[in-house]
This record gives sequence, C-alpha cells and structure tokens, in this order.
Amino acid sequence: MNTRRNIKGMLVVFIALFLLLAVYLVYIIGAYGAYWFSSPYNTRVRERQNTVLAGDIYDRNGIILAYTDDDGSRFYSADRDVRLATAHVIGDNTGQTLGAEALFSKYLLGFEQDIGARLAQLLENKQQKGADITLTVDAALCAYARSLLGDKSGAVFVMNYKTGEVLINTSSPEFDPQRMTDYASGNYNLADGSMVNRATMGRYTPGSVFKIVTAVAALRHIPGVEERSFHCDGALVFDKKSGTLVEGMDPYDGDGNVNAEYAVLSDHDQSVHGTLTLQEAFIHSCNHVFAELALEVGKDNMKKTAESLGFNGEYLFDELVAYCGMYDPGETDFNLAWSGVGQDTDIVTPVQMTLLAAAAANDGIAMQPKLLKSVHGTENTSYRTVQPEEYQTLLKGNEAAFLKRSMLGVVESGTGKKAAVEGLSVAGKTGTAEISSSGEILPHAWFTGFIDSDAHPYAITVIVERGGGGGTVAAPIAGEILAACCKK
Amino acid sequence: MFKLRHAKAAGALGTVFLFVFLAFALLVFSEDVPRPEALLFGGILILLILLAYCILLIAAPHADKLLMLAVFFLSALGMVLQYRLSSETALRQLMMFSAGLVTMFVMLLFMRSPRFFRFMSIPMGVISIGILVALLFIGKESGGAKNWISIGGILFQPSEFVKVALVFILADAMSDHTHLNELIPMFLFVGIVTVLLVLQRDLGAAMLMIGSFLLVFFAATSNIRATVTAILIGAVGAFASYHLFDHVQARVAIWQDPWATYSTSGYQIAQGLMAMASGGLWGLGLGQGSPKSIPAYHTDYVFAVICEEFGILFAIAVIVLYLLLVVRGILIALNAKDRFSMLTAFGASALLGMQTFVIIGGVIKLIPLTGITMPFVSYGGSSMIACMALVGILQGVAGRSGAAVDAELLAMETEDEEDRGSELPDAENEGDDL
Repeated sequence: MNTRRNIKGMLVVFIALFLLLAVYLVYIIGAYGAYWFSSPYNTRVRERQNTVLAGDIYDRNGIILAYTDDDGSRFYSADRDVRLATAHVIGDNTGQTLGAEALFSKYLLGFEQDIGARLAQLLENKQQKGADITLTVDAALCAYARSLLGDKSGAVFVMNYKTGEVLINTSSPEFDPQRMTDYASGNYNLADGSMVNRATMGRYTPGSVFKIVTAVAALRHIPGVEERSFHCDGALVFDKKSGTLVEGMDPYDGDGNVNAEYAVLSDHDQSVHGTLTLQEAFIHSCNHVFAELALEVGKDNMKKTAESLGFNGEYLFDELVAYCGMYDPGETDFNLAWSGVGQDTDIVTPVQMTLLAAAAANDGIAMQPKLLKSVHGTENTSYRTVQPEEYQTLLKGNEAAFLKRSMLGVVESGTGKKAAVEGLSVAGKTGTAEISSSGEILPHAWFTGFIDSDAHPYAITVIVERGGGGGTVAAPIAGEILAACCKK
Repeated sequence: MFKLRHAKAAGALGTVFLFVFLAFALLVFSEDVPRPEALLFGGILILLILLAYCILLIAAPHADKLLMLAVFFLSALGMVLQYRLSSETALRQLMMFSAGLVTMFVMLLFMRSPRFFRFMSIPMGVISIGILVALLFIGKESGGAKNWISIGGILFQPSEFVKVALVFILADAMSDHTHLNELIPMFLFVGIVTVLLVLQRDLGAAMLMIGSFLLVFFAATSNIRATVTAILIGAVGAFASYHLFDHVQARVAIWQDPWATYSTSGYQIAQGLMAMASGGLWGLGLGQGSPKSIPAYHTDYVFAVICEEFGILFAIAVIVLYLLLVVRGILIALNAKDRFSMLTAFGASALLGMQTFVIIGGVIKLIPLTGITMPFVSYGGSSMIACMALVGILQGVAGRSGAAVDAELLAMETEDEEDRGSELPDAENEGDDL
C-alpha cells in the first residue's frame, strides 16, 4: 500500500531530522561554545565574580600575571612593562576585552570544577576559588618585543610552529587592565583601538607579505612556473578608465610623470629587476613579476587559493579569538594585479601571516595556536596540559619547500637581510604596505617569517604601523626578537 | 509476551521515578532557603504518573507503553524545570498535566469509535475557523503574536486546539478521497487557517499546520506533483511574507546574526546561545545556572535551560526521547487497522515531530526561531492539553489495533534491534511466557 510506504519514508525523514538536531547541537557548541560562553554579555561570568575568587594566571615561566586577593579584588602584574605588554593577551575582568580572563573564565571562575573540589571547599567553609592557569606566553619576551615597537602602533606575534604554543602576543597602543574602571567612567581617555589585540584582530593591508599567497597560487595553477624566467622592465601599464593591461606603451611624459590616461604598477623605488626566476622575484620582492603572475593565474584561481589559505573565512581556534584576512581580486586587471602584490582591497591579520609562515616551516601543516599551557587543580595538580593539534594542512609539500627556500633567500640575500641573526637560519618575507596614495603617510612595515630549526621552531610576524619599509624597520625588530627567543 | 514487555516498562518507569525523586531532592536546596515541600511535589508527581499508568494498562492493555513512558519522562522533566524556576508555575503545570492526562483518556475512549470524530470533522473545521477569526478581534497579544484568548480570566491559545482538529480533518478528508477535486474543502480549510494564523503573527503555528498538512497529504495521496506545487506555493508565501512583514525579516536577520542586534531583537537568541554554551557537556547542574536571563525561559526557550543545567549530553538524550516518541507514533500509524486511524496517528506523530524539530532547531539556531512550545516540557496549559490529546489519539489507535499489532511491532523490533533478537529468537515465540 502506497500510504504505508510513504509513511515509512517519512519515518526515515524524521529520524534524519532529529539526528541533524543532535549533530548540529554538538557541532555548534563545539565550534562556537567557548566564544559564546566568554562573551562579555554572558552575565553568568560577571555573577560568578561576586561569589567565586578567580584563579591566578601565570606565564610559561611561572611569573604571576593576574591574581585575586582575599577581598576579591583582581590585580595584574606589578611590573608595569609586563602588565602593559601582556594586557591584550590577559584581558580584563570587566568583560571589555577578549583575553585569557574572558576566554578561560570557565577555569578561572570554577565553572569546570568537579563536584569533589566544590564539596571540599564547601566543607572547609572556604569561599569557592577557581582554578589557576598557566599560559604559553613568555611575559619577559612580550615586554621586550613591546619595547622594540617603541611609540609606534603595531603588534608582534610569535608561535611555536611545531606545537602551536603562542610565545609572544603583544600589541600597541595598549591599555592598563588595572584601570578599567577609570576607562569605563571616562576619567581617563584611551587612544582609539587601544583595547584591540592587533596581533590577532588587527586588519591590515599586507603589501608584499601577500606575495606568499600569490606564489602559492602560481605554483598551484601555472605548471612549470618554477623553471620559467620572467622579465621585469619596471612598471606595468594599465588603461586608467577600463583598468585593462596595456602592453608596450610608455606611460611617462617628458618630465617623468605618469600620463593622465594611464595608471602604473611599479616597485616602491621604481627599480627594474631584469630577468629573474620565480624564486629570485620572491627574494627581491619584484612587484612587476608578482602582478603578472596574479594576472596569469586569474581572478578565480587567485581567490580560490587565497580562500584555501584561510581568507574570507572564519578562524575557530579553541583558545584564541582571531580574525582572518579578506581577499577580493576586484573587477579589472588593474585591481587583480595590485591584489597580487598585497595592495588594492587585500586585508590580513598578523596571526594569519604567522600561520602561513608556520605552515611553510612545518611541511605545510599549520598547528592550531594554543594559549593555555595548563590548568591547575585545587591540590596544585595540573589536570589539563597543552596538546599540540593540527589546525589545517595549508600547503602542499612542494609549496612549503619552495616558500622555505625562498624565505631563507630573502633573509640571506634579499629584502630581509636585516632580520638575519648570527648562528640561526632565519627565513621570512618583508612587506611595505602603502596606505595612502599621496605618499604622505609612511607605509606599514611588515616582516613575517620563522627560524628553520628543530630546536627553536618559532614563527614570527612583526607589524609596525606607519613604520616605513618592511626590510628596514620590521626585519631588524624580528631578528632581535627571534634572537631573544632562542636565548631562553 | 505481555509480561516481558510489562516488566521492561516497569523498569523504565522506575527510572523515571528515580529521576523525579533525585531532581526534587536537589530542588529542596536550589534556593537560599531550603524547600522541603519540593519532595512533596515530587511525590505527588510520582503518584500521579503511577496512577495514570495503571489506568492506561486497564483502559487500553495494548496501548504503547514506551510512548507513554517517553511522554511521562518529558512531562516530569518539564515539571522539574518549572519547579526549579518557580514553584507556583510548577503547581499550575502539574494541574495542567493532570488535565492533559484526563484529556488523553477521553480521547483514547472516543477513538474506540472513530466514526464520532469523522462525524465531527466539519463542525470542528467550522469552529476552528470561527475561533481564529474571533481572535483577530478579541485576541490578546503576547510575544509579538495576537493568539491568546481570555475566557473567565483563564488564557487559552486556540491555535493549539486547532492543531488537534486539523489532524482529524485531514484524516477524514483523505480517508476516502485522494483526488484533488474531492479535497478542495480541505485545501480551503488549511489555506484559511494558515492565512488567519499569519495575520495573527503566529508564524510558528502556521508553519506547523502547513508542514503537517503536507506530510499527511503526501502520505495519503502519493501525489508528488501536488505536494511539490504546494511546497512552491508555501515558498512563494514565505517569500512574500518576508517582504511584506518587517517582523519576518527581523526574524531571519537575527537568525543569521543574533549578536549584531544583541541589545534589541537578537537578545533572546544570544542569551539562549550563551546559556547553552555555559552548560557545556555535563551542564552546570540543576539550580546552578542563570536561566532567568533568557526571555521565555520557561516556555519556548526551555531547551536552552535544559542545555545549561543538564548539559549537551542530556539534551541529546531528550532529543532521542522525542525521536522515540515520533517513531513509536509512526509505528502505531503503520500498524493501524483502518485508513482513518492510520492517517490520524500519522498526523498526530507528524505534528509532535514537527513541533519539536521547529522549536529545538530554532533555539539551537539551526533554523529561524518561531515562537512555539516544546511539547510536554514547556510551561503552558493549552500546549500540554493539546499534546496530550495527540497522545490520546495515538494510544487510542494503538489500543484498537490490538494484539495483532503487538505481534507485528515485535517482529519489527526483532529486525531492528539485535539485542532483543537474542532474547526473542523469532516472532513465533511471542506467546511464550518469558
């Protein structure tokens, strides 16, 4: 009978629908639960602060970064430099920032405590105290990195590319977690964006560090590109109205200015690189070649490659709130060419660049960034320790190998020479991101790279806002920080 | 055979009682001042369930015990949650549960002669439309929908009772006819009811009616073309209402990103999400969460409270329990002796299943949220009584199908479940006294 058969079919549909409910519930809580829980809007966290003494926060070397006294007041590191350099990563206890205080409040405020611990505290008639936690960051290194940024805005992010442990996360300008009530009441004014963790959430124009993405796109979509030779004769010329590439045209008038009909894409210093391979173009950061590569790869494949590397998506890390970059190749050749050298509408975050460098260093595998080293129980037993976890295989073996070779070349003989450290094989890519067409504002200085070493597997990104050239400003800072990391 | 199933059911009933006892024991201490009366409440609940179970065994020996146990557990869970939130609402819910049980038995008895409901089909349809039209003028607004009516100071939600009427009207119309021309009065009824519900902004109920109608229509007629056409009409209607009504657009927008409008329209969903996330796998513990920060925590959003205090694992168990309920309901339909019984049983199961899916799906942000209750668990008399009426329909059909149906069910179970197969090697053994 048909009706009976149909009803049986509906039975299957209902079973599928209810399974979908269960699976989706697990998925959505697994993927977003930690963020929703640590949301500043979650009143449960604020309510808990009134009844539970929040646990202490330590850095990886046991230096205390946050603690609660017996009255329930929260204190942060007494060393002002450390306090400010770790402000973003620690966050605050008033729910204004998304640092460890918010992200790990389930441990700090004892949401995760088992019934045994709770009963023990109840029997001893003690106020409930949350668990202490140890972070993966090194407070002294954060303070050192912060000092190198000077009075410039910017960020430094360093992670271990074998384990994902975040060693340094510092951001400037900063706030003082000890003065949150002053900020809230308006007694003390903070520079705009001081509470944003620029290392994880700062959205910047990448400039030439984006050539890492374009290089991967070329390796993926242009067969034999590594063996080809390219010719850089200076500027690429585009028709200003239509934005299409114009070949064999001299765009300059007698005085050396660009003709009104044309728009050009050239290197910052108008340099002409002559004939070079893909690797040489990468090492010398040749805009001409990378713009041509972007045009040859094409809009769709550029976008596809960028999205496979985490652009236009969403980072769902367990222990870090981070934004990813945005990539849109635009409509015209002109947009596409500029997007291939990290300008146009390209956006990246320092954490994303670090993940790309980390993948290049680690055979293409990006480890999930980890901030929580361990959680300590009431009897000083640590019941949760960091577990390295693969986040994503971003690069194929040949792509990682090419990038590693080329990035080593950048520091050895290219634009990143100033990042070199005696006795270490430092690799990287510089970037000088133009943020104004008039040239009145200094460009953002970028360096993203890693140490090619099993003993010191660190990936780093340095961004100095309006700092100047990547090779001259960011590269030396990166070198000094990496040297300091290895001394530890 | 009967003894075996009975013994198993008794074990499951014991589990329900243990849950109720432990929960109310905890509830004694859930507030600052101990509430020993919680144990009394739990005791009354246990006795009420036991009494209802015994009456069911006598009134309909072939009633589906598993289905009944699932309903008891869900209702008991609802009462535990209500008591945790407020002992007064829990008391009212207990009264509604009793009224629901009475309704269930009345339906069960009436279902012995389906002719009565078939005869009542047209009057029920007329009354349903009459009430819904009246609501447009005298209805009270609550939660954005104008779907309440006050009779003698007691608030009713008539759309809940229209749902029950719909089950009979659909089954009656399609028992004898499957040609579209002959079904025009039914189409008219469903169309008018849906339009009226949309006008009252009771989108959840409208969605339920249309959904159940489509399921029963397709099951009864196998008319794929008409079903697809109806879905298309529904889609056009949904599209039109999206553009016509601001509140529909707002619903979709807050579904996509409740955090963007946290302080206004996204508040409820965001609060629900935070509550669920706070519970984690094992929950914060009964009485340990802050569910009252979620709007409609004791009605539409009770699933978020379950997630917060009992945890995701328990919430999944609740979903599985609802699935069990729907599966048993559909098995009852499949084993029904006549077409009218089959279609009513399927309609009732489909309604319960859809309602559960729509509200849980809305709370966990799988689909846009529409304000409807979670069967048996949410606070609300109309909802409780209507859902119990649907259970009464199912138990009535199951009871009528008699011993022969039991045998068929057992055969299916042996196919499905290997562990049972080992106890009962084949269907012929069912008569043995195990």
